[in-house]
Amino acid sequence: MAIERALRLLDRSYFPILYRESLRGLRENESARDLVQDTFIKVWMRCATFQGDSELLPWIRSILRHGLLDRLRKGGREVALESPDGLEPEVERRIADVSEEAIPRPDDEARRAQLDQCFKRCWGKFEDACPSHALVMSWIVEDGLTHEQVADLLGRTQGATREFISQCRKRARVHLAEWYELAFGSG
Amino acid sequence: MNEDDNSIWLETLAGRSASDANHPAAREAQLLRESISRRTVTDGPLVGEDARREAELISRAEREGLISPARHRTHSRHRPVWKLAAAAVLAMVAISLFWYMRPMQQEIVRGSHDGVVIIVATNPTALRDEIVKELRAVGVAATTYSRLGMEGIDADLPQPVSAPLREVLDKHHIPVPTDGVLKVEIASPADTEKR
Repeated sequence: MAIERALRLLDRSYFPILYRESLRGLRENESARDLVQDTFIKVWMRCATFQGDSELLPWIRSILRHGLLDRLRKGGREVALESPDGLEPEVERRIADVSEEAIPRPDDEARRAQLDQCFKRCWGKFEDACPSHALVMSWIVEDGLTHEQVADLLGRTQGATREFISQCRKRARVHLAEWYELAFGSG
Repeated sequence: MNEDDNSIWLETLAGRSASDANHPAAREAQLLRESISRRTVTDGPLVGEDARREAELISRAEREGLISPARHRTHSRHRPVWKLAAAAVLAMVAISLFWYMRPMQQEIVRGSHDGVVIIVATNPTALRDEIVKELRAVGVAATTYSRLGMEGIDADLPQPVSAPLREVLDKHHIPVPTDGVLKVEIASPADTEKR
């Protein structure tokens, strides 16, 4: 039967890559697996809307990402931002003061390792507290998303998306404050 | 933190050059981008074909009403036209899916070490040649080497990375290198187990 064959093919071809992305957002095996299967069902239901000249993987991935953000919203995992800006004014000033040429580069291995370790730790906290914001930031970096693409992903207006982007930045500054301090502090 | 600031921050975070690269928001986003990119490649769970999982998916499709258990087992002469049309569309999707995904079924990105992306594939030489061919098709000259049973690829990528090049990298799950230097090593599963 066509649908059964197609679903099996979808599973064999796309499960690993989608599961990895799903797990990164949901951080729980069963939920991640459930979301991927939910995505395959949606792919089938919407296959008539797929435009043959576009890439299949990005299309499927966008369905997964919509579902992922929906689940995060419903799960209510987002933590309210208590402070409008988590960076100390001193660090804020340092970022503004450092010229492009003088951006502290992790030139030596020890410095790079220290920065990466600190970033990983802080980013983990950020993902725990603000999973949607952390995920969207990762997708922006990985896929070079534009403002319009972020708006489409969020299903929000341009204005609401601008606010979301602003929140991403503010929240990142709160949860990555230690990393900001380390990265810019020695400048 | 005004709207322009955030716009510059977003553009830089996405890898597009801001009009003012020396703007504090651009510098901040650039460092963030580099750090996020470095932590992107992870050893996620890599599960390929799984009969139990597929069976779950089929059961779920039945529960969702996409497949009627009765219809699943018998052939109806009165199948609605729209269902036949949908099946035809799906068949087309399935065929394109099969061709598009062929390489993914035999390659797995295992992570990176010192900036080198490690891929495990059943036929490292064939995959290396395929990647090099695809890179050349989008205007990137790549060099190859063999070392300790691994097939390697080095290439200097043009900056910014073009959309076609990004597609090639995405297809093989290779993250865009932040320094513009692509380093890939491909090992066979047997070699990986020995290491």
